[in-house]
Amino acid sequence: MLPPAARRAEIETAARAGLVALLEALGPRLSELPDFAVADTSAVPTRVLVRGRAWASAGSVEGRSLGRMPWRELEFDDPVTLHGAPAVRMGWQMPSRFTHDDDAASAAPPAAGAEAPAPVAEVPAPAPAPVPPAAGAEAPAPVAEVPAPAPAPSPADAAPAPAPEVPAPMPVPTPPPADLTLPPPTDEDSGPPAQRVPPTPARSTSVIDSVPWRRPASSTPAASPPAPTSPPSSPPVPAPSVPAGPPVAPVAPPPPPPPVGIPPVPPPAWGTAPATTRQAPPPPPPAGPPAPPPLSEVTQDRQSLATLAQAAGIPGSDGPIVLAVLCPAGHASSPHSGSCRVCGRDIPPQQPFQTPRPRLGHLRISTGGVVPLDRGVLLGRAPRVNADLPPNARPHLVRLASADNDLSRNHAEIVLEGWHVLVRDLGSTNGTTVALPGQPPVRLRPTEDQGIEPGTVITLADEVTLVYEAEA
Amino acid sequence: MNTLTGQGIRIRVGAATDVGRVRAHNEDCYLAENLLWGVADGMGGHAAGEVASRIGVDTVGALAYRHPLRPDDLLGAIRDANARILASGSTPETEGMGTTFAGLAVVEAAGADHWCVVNVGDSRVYRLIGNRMSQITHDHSEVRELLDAGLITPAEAARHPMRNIITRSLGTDPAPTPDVWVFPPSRGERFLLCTDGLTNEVGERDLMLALRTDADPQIIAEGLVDAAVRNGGRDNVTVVVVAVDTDEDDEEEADTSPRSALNPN
Repeated sequence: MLPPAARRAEIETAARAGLVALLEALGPRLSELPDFAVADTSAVPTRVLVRGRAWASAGSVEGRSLGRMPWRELEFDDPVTLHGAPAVRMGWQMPSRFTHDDDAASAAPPAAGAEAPAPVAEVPAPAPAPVPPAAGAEAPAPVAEVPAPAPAPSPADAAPAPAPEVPAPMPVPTPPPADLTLPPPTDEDSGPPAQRVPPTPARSTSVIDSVPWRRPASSTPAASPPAPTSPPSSPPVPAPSVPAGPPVAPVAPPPPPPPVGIPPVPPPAWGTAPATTRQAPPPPPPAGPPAPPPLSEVTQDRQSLATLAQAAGIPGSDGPIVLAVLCPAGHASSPHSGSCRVCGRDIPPQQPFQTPRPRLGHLRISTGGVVPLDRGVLLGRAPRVNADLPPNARPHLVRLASADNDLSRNHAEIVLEGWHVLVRDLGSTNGTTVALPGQPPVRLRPTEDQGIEPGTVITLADEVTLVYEAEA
Repeated sequence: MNTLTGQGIRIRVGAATDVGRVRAHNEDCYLAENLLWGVADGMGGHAAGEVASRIGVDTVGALAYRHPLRPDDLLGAIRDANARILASGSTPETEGMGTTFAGLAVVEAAGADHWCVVNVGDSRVYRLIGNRMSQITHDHSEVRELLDAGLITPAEAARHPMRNIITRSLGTDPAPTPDVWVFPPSRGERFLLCTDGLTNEVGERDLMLALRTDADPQIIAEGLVDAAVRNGGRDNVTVVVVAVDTDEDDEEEADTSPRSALNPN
């Protein structure tokens, strides 16, 4: 799977190649496309596709998908503004390091009052499209620019507010004329390429403000290994319905908690003007200290640079990113857990946020020692991986002594996928058994993934046992 | 090769450091004690970087004679070093000081000796085996992220204005998460630990050529530091070379015996 920026480049390239290429780049299957609004401004009238919650407007005329699948097509003669989902409108924006000098061709924004925060002028009804033509639409540039999915959202970031699949038409404000945006994806696993910032007027240079980019960790294609299942009686593990790998397709997330601290308004929140703040404050972030002043020396930590610190997002986010919720003690757990995987406390309702995946415990080996589960583990008599694997993709390699060569050279592997710990027999000669807590041992079929939970005992060739333990 | 500490195994080490031609202080530090090695590249105004890298090396170095040493011991020491650097950074001179740390140690896992590599920051550990050298740490740096994202090319990275921005270091709150890798020893392995003062001045091909010579590791380490200074010496340079020599035959090639053949029932 591509890293965010590569994904961005891919979509940018596709956008230049035209609408068909762009749609193909957005998703392999029609049913898996994210909500989007896209405008082809290469000809007049402007051709607009809207899907899901995304919508478009030209002057006071709006076009919404009205729930039509896979999208609704509209034509506008006026300069078109594309609108995303609440997250975009409510103050998500790209880290500045990707917004300074985007040099991709930008869709020609009409001039008038482009940057001004839109007044909240309630327009009673969604207008049917196509709409009557108006003043000379200037639309020279083809759809091109895709602002970056940032590689590193801040840990304080809330996830994009999920919303109903199909928006009901509702009163909307007059949008800023030149704001061309796409919504963030609804797929909660391909979280927002964005950083939580105070709401700002949307920029005028973009066609697409968010794309269905995927996390680098989403290396599992649609045909991913079977989901780890766990007995319903075991609280610390995610629900059995959770896929093993990050889902490729957008999933239908639970309805978002209503915004707090604001008067009741009709959901969803996407009709709000950018300048109107109504989003709940983010959950208390694991806040760092105020950035110290820049240093004069050559090497500097990013945290020490105020401007970069703002853009940086998750510190050390070059590894896998997961969505997490915090228990009262501050331990991160899967958003699907009701109780903390570390201390067992109940987790209060909250918005999940993105964070580098914490260590998922460790493996205690019968012949001595523990190996941290901050990455996968390859075990065997002479474990080896491809030397070309980049460091971040390399598992721990643990050599197990085997007097009679009962163990295979590469015998079994512990694989981390999102919050899941999986064990896989690598076609070993003498096999691998897995005993989930309170259950009898089961022999794994080769290359079959078995999800495990703390307390699970793994036995390799009846010779070495490994116990998966959560953090103390 | 199942052990790094038994009979027939010789581990030879070389280490060298130099202030370079431009900087006033050498803020780098190295560690080479018993079966524990590391390099640290300090940063901070005045001489604070020296303080930070020294704290890092000393805190981790305190584990040099612990037995058995476990990966978690190293991670704990790095956590301690981070806290100590933070605690020492309370004066105006030392505020904001920090350091990288890249380390190599012999640890015990599954009852056998394994290598453990730990890293925070953009100092590096390379591993040479046969004629192949690969970097086994992942730089925690802005340019590495840009490279990984495909936004810049390696050539651009060398001149990039953000090439000195690291994304994890010791001396930060919240504490950085160190990378750690555990892997078993192999015959004829050599390791090169270095700060970016080396890799910014000497190409990887030259590093590989130097590392695979038969020369004594100390000669190799000094030669590499000299080369970096000769090529500009724009930063402090620190190098540790670890070479493992063994006469032992490798048992790994034996085939796995099916248990059924041993125990027909």
